Amino acid sequence: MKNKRMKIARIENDLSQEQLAEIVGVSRQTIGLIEAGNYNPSINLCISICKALHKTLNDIFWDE
Amino acid sequence: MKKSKKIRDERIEKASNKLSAYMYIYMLITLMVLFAIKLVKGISPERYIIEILCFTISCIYMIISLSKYSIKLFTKYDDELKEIKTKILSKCGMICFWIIILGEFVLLFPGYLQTIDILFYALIWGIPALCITFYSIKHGLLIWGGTKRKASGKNDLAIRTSIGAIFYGILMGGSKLYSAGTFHASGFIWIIGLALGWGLPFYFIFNLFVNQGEKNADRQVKEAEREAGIIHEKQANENSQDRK
Repeated sequence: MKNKRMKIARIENDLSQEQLAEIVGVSRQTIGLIEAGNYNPSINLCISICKALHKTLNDIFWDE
Repeated sequence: MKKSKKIRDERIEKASNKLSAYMYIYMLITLMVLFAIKLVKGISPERYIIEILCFTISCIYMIISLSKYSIKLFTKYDDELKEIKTKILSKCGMICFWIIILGEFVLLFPGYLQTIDILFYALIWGIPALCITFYSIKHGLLIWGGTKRKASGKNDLAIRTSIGAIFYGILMGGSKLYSAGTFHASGFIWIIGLALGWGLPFYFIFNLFVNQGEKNADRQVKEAEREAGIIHEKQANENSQDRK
């Protein structure tokens, strides 16, 4: 499922996919695939993304 | 903000580990077959020392690593343990790969190995290496990882290729420097020529591969986004119909 909250949080932080990818240490394509819901990141990567976007895990990855 | 220079993408690592694990299984089977043939034919032990080293070192590493996590080789596990098992097998694959490569170099020059042995070993590591490279390009695993990383990646590739090319030049043309007890300056030209002959095509071909991998990875992302958009639209339509 598409991760719209991550995309919104990234845009709120004024970051491109490439900039976020550099901060968390993955490729731009991996960020794209996570946002498209085509790749399930590990908990460590989720935490790194949340820290970079100043959000909690619930804010971005919890699906209600 | 902390910025990582080197790309350690878990998505790529997981996929690469899976490929290397398959490579290990293939190499183990082919090395066993080769070993059995050599034993039956009564060939001298120097010509199957690589096989023995591959079996013993990789198996010892595998047993120690699996027992560290209390994992059994043929038991099905959850995703996390499955990944650990794949990682261990992939490391075993890399151990075998380097033993064959280094073993070929060490044993070829004193004359322990024959051309036929080198050919078989080249098939054992060459076929999976080629398959992995083309699979990685096709599935967007061989990538720069972004425009900024492309520049540093290209520099890194140039340095590594230069080192490899110089090594190749010295290895193949080093004998031209000293022959019949005298030093020949023309040997340097041989070394440079061989290094350029190997290094330049390798650099440009590898560049081409990574650029193609990058294109394929981008296409994958676009397709995933398009699919996700279609699914999202479908869900929105279904929700609006439910409300009606």
